[in-house]
Amino acid sequence: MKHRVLAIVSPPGEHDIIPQARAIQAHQPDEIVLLKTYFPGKTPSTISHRLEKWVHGSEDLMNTYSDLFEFIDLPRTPPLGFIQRRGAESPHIVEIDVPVDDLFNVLQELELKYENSDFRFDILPGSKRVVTPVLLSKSLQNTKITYSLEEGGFLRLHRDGKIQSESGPYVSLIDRFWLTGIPVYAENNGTSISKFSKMYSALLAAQSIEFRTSKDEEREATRKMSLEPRKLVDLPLNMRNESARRQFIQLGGRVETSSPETVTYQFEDVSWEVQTEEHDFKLGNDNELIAANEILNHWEDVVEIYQGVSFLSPTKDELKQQIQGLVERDFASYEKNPDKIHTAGKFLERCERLGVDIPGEPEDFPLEKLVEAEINHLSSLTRSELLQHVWTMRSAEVDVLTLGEFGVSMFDVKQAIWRVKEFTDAKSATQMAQNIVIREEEKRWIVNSTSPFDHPKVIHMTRLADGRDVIKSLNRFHWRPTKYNLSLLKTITEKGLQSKKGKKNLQHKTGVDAETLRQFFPDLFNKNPTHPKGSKKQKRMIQVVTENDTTEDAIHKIGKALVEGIKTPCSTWGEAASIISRVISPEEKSRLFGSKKFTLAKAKLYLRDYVFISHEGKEVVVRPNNRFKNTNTNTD
Amino acid sequence: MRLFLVLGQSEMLLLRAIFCHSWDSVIMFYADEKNLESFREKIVKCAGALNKPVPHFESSEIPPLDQTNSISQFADALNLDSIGQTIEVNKNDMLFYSGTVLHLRCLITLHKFETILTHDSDRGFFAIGNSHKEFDNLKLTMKTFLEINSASIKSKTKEDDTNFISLASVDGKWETKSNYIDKIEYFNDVLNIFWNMVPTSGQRKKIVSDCHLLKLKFGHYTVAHRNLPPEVERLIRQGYILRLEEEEE
Repeated sequence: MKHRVLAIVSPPGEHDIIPQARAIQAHQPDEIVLLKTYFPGKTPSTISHRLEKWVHGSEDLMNTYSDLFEFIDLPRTPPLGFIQRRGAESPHIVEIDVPVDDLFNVLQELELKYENSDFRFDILPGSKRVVTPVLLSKSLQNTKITYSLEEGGFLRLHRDGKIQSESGPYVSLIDRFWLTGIPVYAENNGTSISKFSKMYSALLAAQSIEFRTSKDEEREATRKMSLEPRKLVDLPLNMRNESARRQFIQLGGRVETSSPETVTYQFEDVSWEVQTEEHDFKLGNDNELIAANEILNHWEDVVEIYQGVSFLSPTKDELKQQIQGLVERDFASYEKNPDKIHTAGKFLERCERLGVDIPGEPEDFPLEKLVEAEINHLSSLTRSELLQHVWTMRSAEVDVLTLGEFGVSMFDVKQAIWRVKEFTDAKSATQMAQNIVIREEEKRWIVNSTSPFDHPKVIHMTRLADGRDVIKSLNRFHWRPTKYNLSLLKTITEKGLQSKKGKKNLQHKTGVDAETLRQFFPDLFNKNPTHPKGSKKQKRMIQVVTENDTTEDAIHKIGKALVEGIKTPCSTWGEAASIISRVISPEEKSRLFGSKKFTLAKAKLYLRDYVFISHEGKEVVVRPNNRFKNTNTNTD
Repeated sequence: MRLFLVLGQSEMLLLRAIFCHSWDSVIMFYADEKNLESFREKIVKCAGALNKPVPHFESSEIPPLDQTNSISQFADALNLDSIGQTIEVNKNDMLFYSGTVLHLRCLITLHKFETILTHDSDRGFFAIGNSHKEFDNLKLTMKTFLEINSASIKSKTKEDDTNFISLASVDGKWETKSNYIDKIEYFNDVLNIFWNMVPTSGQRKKIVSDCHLLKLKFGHYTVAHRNLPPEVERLIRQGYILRLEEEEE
């Protein structure tokens, strides 16, 4: 076999090195020629220290974080490092300084130098201005021009316009983060998910509606936040109900409730203990693995998948700052509500664990001492003991991460999303750890509830089986019920439609919004055309926003007034704005929404649950969102 | 002499390439018809602002390279076997270096382009390959920049007497405004926004979303943010795009 030489343009320093690693991995060369381009008058840059270490293997790359790991034995998922062809030696790296306008000449010289070798130049993304002369088809005669791919392998771009695909390994997601300066820990990978695949599939097939119970109502009564109206008609789909457990058993599984807060599922030869509650909060952790399993089984473009990826603080100092920030935050929560277990619990547990007394007056609390004790305690633990503390040492966590033809994609798995703010909250901009190369366009939410929001980035768990095509589907956010669940809903719906009282409470009885119910059972509703829109329009008092109202209250009052006040079938934005002005004063707008004007953009942002706003400019129309209208009719 | 371009994200650079010479014809490779129409309108506006004739314009569809079409799928679709050879390129024609490197290599080899028009801030527009011709480096002013993009910049005063600068579309479809903008200037073919110190995290987040909006409206390399703290710059480079549309009640 010919000596394989790969030439690539080298980026300056530690930034943007993933494409280079991708090309090196895809080509598996014997020799790497790093062309360090520089502009006239500037000095040639140094190559990435971590890229070099990665070429030498996993250990060398991890050792670039020795300062951190000597201080604390953090749980981590090691990178694979560069994987060489079987029988070939580790590649030799050659560095050449190249003035930007000389790249073509240098490549011609290299072409001559390596005329007896298999010489390749990978054009990589970026550096377009520098690479352009090389792209002309007449430019190089004996060089393979290639473009390496995210999913592994590369395209060979022939001079006659033909493109040939060649196989090769990909750079693991894990390596990508270590290379960009972030050590990572992943709870599960494709192999560990596959081991439980049949169980996860059976759980998804068995899931049913978690109807509201009196315990839920009690629990909500203790919460500060008011109940989201959607919470009544967008119920979770999961295993926390008898129907689901029965279904799972029928599918061949077994269920054991080991404690009030944990449940163990068994299927064939595997078992899985799931924590269902913590500090009086329901958990939906099991959804992450079920979603990851669906993607693994059905998304053909995906080559690698991880669940529960923690991005760890990369240096000792950043780790200490991270822990300090968390302790301070928990202390603030404790100070606000010292008697509430779900807000003060973490802080009290920490004090107890570290043997720090809580004095009578919060201002006397030795916070610095607690931070120091926590850092000392954590650094004394073993790697396995630290597993339960990973959440305190990470700067971000992603539920499901995949690598495939479309690059790196991330999924936030939620049981349900009831507040539209989840999609628009500005804090999303900073949730990602710095330097993490995750593109916003490849960030999506997976939900598992009866009637989710129609949002371009939302995919229903039951639709993941459609593969990546689901993102183009108009139904991507719609629940696709199993036969069992459909039949259950049909029985409740039929029964409800038979009586006036039942009709009124139909959405709450089924836990599904009216629009979704109509989609499931068009025939049933055609027989009962008056439901659920309501035949009589009642006159209602407009509730004005007062100085005691929160933003949530104001949104509800404005939304409700619009639903009741706008004309059928729709109003202009001017008409809608005049209703809004009757509900909220400029002062309250300023206090709650930051400006004395409630703009169209704000209406689109905050009132999606209540109204649909379409068209642009003077043609804007506002229509009631029937989901709210029906909920409202039934609850008021 | 005809100019071929891939309709990408740096529309201002494309416009400057189109108007740096009196091309016999401008041929645009596009993947999205809506973007093509909107860009065609900008060409007309630009011609008006520069008092130049609107060039003869043609277009040719190419496969998209986005969230619905991967690089492998793009390469499969943009192949000799799958694309109709309707364009005949002659040795005087030039391909502007817009789009990705993959777009360029594929189009060069498919259509046998022998010359590429490229640009840098020192030399302006110049050809490489068959020709080494240099072209005028068309300089725009703030006025023409805003006119072409149907945008306006206004200094305003809030009711509490604080001053802020608003950068918005003339039709009111979008707006960014901040009292942390010190000044906005147009030089070196870039809209330079000079920021004052931004004191709180919440305000920095708002600035990040404004910066993303501007990137979306004007292109990646047409707006430069000056004096922002490094953590905000990182977020602007890698963070998310919040789509905002403002229209006053």
